Amino acid sequence: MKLSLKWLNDFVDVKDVKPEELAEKMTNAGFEVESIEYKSKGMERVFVGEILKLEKHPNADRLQVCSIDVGFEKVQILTAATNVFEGALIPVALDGADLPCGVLIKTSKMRGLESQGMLCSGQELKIDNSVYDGAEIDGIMILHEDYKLGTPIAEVLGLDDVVLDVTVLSNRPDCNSVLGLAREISVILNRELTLPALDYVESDRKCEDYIDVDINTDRCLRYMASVVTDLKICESPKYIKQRLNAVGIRSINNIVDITNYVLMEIGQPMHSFDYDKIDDKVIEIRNAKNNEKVLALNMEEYELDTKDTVIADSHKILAIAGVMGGFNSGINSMSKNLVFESATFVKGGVRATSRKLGLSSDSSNRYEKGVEPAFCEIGLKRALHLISSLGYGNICKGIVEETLIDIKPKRLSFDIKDITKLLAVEISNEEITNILERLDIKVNIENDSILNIEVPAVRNDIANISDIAEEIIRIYGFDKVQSTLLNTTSYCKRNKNLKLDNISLLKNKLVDCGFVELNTFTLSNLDYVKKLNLSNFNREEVIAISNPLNEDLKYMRTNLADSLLNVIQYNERHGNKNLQIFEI
Amino acid sequence: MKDKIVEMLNKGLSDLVSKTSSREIEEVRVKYLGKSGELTAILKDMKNYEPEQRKEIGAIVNSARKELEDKIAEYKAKFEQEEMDKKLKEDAIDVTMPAKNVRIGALNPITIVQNKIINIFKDLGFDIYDGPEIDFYEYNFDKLNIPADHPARESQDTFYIDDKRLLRSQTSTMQIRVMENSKPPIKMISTGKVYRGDELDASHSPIFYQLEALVIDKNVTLADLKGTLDYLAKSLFGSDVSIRMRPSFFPFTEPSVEVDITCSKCKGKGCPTCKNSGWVEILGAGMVNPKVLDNCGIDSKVYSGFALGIGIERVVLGLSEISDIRILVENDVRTLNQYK
Ligand SMILES: [Zn+2]
Repeated sequence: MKLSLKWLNDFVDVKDVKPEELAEKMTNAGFEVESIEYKSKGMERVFVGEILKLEKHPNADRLQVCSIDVGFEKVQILTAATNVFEGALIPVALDGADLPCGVLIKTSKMRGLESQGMLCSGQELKIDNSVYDGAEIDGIMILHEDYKLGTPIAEVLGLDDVVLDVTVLSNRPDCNSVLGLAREISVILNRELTLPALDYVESDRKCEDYIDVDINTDRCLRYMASVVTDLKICESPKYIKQRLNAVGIRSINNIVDITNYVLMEIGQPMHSFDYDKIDDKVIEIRNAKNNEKVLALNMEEYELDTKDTVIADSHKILAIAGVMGGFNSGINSMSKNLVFESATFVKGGVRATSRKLGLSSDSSNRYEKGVEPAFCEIGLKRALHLISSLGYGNICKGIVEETLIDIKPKRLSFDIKDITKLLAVEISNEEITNILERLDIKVNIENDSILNIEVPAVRNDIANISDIAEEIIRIYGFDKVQSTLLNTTSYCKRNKNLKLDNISLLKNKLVDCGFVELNTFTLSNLDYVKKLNLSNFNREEVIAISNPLNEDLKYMRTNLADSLLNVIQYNERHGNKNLQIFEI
Repeated sequence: MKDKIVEMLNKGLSDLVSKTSSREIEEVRVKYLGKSGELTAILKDMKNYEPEQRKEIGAIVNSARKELEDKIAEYKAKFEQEEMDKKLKEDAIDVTMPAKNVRIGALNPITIVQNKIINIFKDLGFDIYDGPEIDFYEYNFDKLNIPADHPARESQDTFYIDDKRLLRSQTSTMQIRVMENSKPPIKMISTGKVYRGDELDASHSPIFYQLEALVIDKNVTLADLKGTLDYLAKSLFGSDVSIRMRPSFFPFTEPSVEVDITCSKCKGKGCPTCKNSGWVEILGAGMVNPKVLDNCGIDSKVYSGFALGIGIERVVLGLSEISDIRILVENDVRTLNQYK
């Protein structure tokens, strides 16, 4: 998953840590960083400047001479652009700039006058309107807000960010979010974790008067709904747009952006329905009926069956659960009231539907990895906090929910000796306590020897002593483990494997006689029956693969001759003659 | 007498000019300078002359002899060089058109690497087992603690035969078979083909080879795994490589690690091959998950163990200049002959 360091800084301060160093520490703790992307690459020498004076070039009609103040110095730059004016704030690339478009900027003379840099267009900075409104105009990009002269342009554009591409292991779906990784990083760096704000102001209207939730399938574990009235649909604030943009999500409008923001930040997929398009105030989560059809947000119609799960009102399908909303229930710029969905659908169900329909979304991708029910509430409250603090609508009192499972911390007990014995490291009880508590695991050590822990509900991966040993060692460091060579293991009685010994002997004899050993595929088609003229061939005896990659890899071969003939044919074609080959 | 000697010398020199091989030159040498050669005979005859004459004739014979010897040596060297060049040329031709009786075979690179690793583990006292490529779901998934909704079970990842059997997607199946059939202590390896639903490309093949090692005993620790990995890496890639264990996840081991070795291309400094990290991943390993031990009827309260799995093709690539695994299934005899 893509992790914006600017976003990460909301929860754990890593401003003084070099991204490369952070990446290595994360990799060593089980969060491999595949790549580090500097969003500001090429903009290191581009700053906000003001055009103080504009004059015609005495020797060139098409050129203008600009006197520019970039805060820390004044420069003279020649430009052919016609959209510049005195007083304009513009991006100025100074001598030495190696721009994102690939152009290297050097001080040079044009028709007798020196030009100490270049005024940039959006194209030269490789940005579009989604990064900065007006970036796509023909000419120099004119900055339409006030900035301090000399501010790095990356800061103005919100590109003063570094994005890490992190591989989150499949047993840690709780870390597919900024918050999840922030918690891990706070443990790795031994720094404080700031939790996201979840508070919001509620109106007098009661949510339960507006909507009812009813789960009628075992493919949904938890469903929470909240109603927002007097909705204001508009653009998102700049920081939300920039953060989404940094991790590859395009800004749509404030509401869609909030659902995406919560998905990335908390790891909880969210959906928003237009409240006024829901009939009879009821949201039912149920299995689809056979041949039931739905028009999805992407304007495609899908035919479902009982293996699919849907969100429906009394008359129609509102969404394909966890995969995509319905076209007729979505919000648009005219929407007045909305319902937020924050739910837990089982991963197998979402995956099966997504595969069958050939339809996936950021939401379905997340559900397929597994979303813990405990996140429903945090995600929904985070979305409501954003609505409330940004003034996008009035939030009805209370949350309507149905939850079919227990969401409780898990209590486990181990003998500390067993853990340190398995890991073969000397680690103090204090250190164990410190590591686990920072991972949000409650610790109580009895008599210096028994470790009692309480594991938060989102850590589904911790169940036995090995799991807790792994948590300790991955933070403590595998590099601190000694190397021993089975000193303490007992002598094993030796079993001779005569079959393998004989095969090895046979291979060596054949090689001595000049034969070359092949490695051919054990899967094949049935062509060899014809090729080898096998009259007594019995098709019943051939073992077939039920889901082959292709026809040529459909059957377990019953015959080596066919493979050898293919090899001979290949080698003859490549000029290798007089072959002596074998395969066992 | 003097004239006779000069005549003999000239005859000898002209004899040399007409010769075309080092063997013929040798014949000339024997004719004049050999034990019963013509010049030698004159020296042998010396006793028939007066002492003054002896001295004079002796000097003439020796200078003639010296001149002839030098010339012979010169010709001989020339012909020997020519003959050597010619022989080398002929030998070179022999390679492209294999001679009938000097043919040398070759083990497949896969076998060579398998043998290397097998021998390393045999030295450590491991037994070697082989097992079926067609196996039950149970051995490939259930008993390895791979849950029913795990993506590895999807039809795009694993080849199925019917509702019970599949083509094993990992040699870990053999861990289960051995644990079920023998009591600890266990120190075993197993190697062979495994199958996964990947199209053939530069780094994937639907059929490839793995090697699996398993140790189960009382008191087996993470340090034993690290020591074994270190021994394996150094035996296989050279004593100057170091290993790094990174936390990872496999359902059948806990803790699980990916094991990296120092990048051989840059010696750990960072290069494109290792994505500037200085490390190259070679295998996965871990302490056997207690659930797996229990699944096989081994008391996880008493016994512990470790397991590791290596992709053979990856090691072949690591030990050679090849970067495309398709070359390993092409079976071009000329390529195969280059591994020894
Ligand atoms: Zn390297």
